[in-house]
Amino acid sequence: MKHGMPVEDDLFEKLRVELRRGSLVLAVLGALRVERYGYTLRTSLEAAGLPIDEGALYPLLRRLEAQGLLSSEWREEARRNKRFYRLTDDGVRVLGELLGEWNAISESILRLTGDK
Amino acid sequence: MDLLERYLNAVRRNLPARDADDIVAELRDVLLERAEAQEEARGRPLGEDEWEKLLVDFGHPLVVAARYRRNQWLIGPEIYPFYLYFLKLIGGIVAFGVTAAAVVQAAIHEGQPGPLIVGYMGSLWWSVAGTIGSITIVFALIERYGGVDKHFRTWRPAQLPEIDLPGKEPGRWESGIEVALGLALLLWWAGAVHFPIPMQSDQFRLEGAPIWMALYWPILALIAARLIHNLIQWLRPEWRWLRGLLGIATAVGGLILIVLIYRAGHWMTVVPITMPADQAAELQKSVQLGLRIGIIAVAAVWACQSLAELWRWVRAMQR
Repeated sequence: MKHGMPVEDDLFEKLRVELRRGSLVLAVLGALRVERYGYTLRTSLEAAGLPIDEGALYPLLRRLEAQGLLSSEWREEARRNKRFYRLTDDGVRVLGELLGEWNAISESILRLTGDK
Repeated sequence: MDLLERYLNAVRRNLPARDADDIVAELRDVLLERAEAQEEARGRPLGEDEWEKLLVDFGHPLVVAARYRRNQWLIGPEIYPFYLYFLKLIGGIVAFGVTAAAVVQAAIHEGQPGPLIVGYMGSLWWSVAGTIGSITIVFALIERYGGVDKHFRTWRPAQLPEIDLPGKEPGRWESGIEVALGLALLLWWAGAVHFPIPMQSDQFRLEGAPIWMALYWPILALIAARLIHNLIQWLRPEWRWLRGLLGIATAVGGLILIVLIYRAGHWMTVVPITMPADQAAELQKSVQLGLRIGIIAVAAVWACQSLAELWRWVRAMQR
C-alpha cells in the first residue's frame, strides 16, 4: 500500500477482528468467574460490549475446558438440559496472570500513543 | 424440527467421533434457545422458512464442525514460509528438468511437432502438480506431528547465501575478456583472421558440412549481436533494458541455431587422402559422434546460461 492511501473499511474490520480475537479469551474467562451456560454467557458478553459469534464461542469453551481452565456439567434448567461452565482453580490463576499482562499491554499502548 | 435434526446430523458426521454426542447435545440446546427467543418475540412458533434462516445464520455444518477440530489449518503460519520456499525451489527444478528434457527431445525429434508439444504440456502439468501435492503432504504431516519443524527454527546467519548471488553483475574484467573473445570469434568467422586449427593431415582432411554455409549469415548475426551485448555490459552496464533484450534475443536465437545445426545431422566430412576408405568411414563415425555429443553439451550449457541471464534481468528490472 502506498503512503497516504485511505484505509479501506474491510481492512479496518480485519484488523479489528484480529485485535479482538485475543481479548475474547480473557473476556470469556472473566465472565465465567460466575457459573453460566452458553446462552447466558453470550448475553452477558454482549451486554458488556463484547458480542461473540456462537460458532466461535462454543468451540472456544471446549478448548478452554480441554486446557483445564474451565470445568462443565450438564444440569436441567427451564425444562432442558444445559451445560454450565465455570473457572477451575487453574483458570482463576491464569485469568489473574492474563489480566496483569492485559493491563501492562494497555499501559504500554497508552504510553506509546501519547494518551497518558 | 426435522430441519434441526438433519442439520445436527450433518454437523455430527464431521465431528471428532469421541466428542460428537456431547457437542451435538450442546448445539441442539443452543439452537432451541435461539428459536425460543425468536418465537417469544413473534408470539408464535417458527415456520419452516424461519427455521431455515436460523440454521443458515448459524453456519454451514462443515464450518460449524470444523471449528471443533484441533487442527484448524493444513499448514500453519509458522512453517508456511518454508513450505512456500521449498515449493518454489523444487517446483522450479522439476519444471526446468521437464523443459530441458523436452528441448533435447525436440532437437532429435523427426516428424510433426504437435504430439511433442502435447506430451510436453502433459508432462509439465503432472510433474508440477505431483511435486506440489507431495510437498504439501510432507508439510501437512510436519504441521500435524511436528518433529522436523525444529530444524527450521535452528539456523545460523553464517549459513545464509552470499549477498545477491543470483543477480550478481559480471565484473569489468570478465566483461572485457568476453568482448575480446567475441571480437576474435567474429573476425575468424568472417574470414578476416586465420587461427591454426588442424583440419588436415597426410592421410585425410576435414571439410565442413553444407549446414555451416547455409547458416553462415545467421551465425554471423548472432556473434555480432552477442558482441554488442557484451560491449554494453562492459561500457554501459546501466542500459539494463537494451542489455536484457539483446541477451534474451541472442539466447533464443542461439538455441534455435543449435537445434537447426543438430537437426542437419551431418556436420563434418572426412575426406581420405592416403587413408583406406574403411578407416576413413570409421573416423567419420567417430567425428560425427564427438560432434553430436559436443552440440548437445553446448545446447545444455547455453540453455542454463540463458535462464541465468533471464533471471538476472528480471531481478534487475524489479529493483
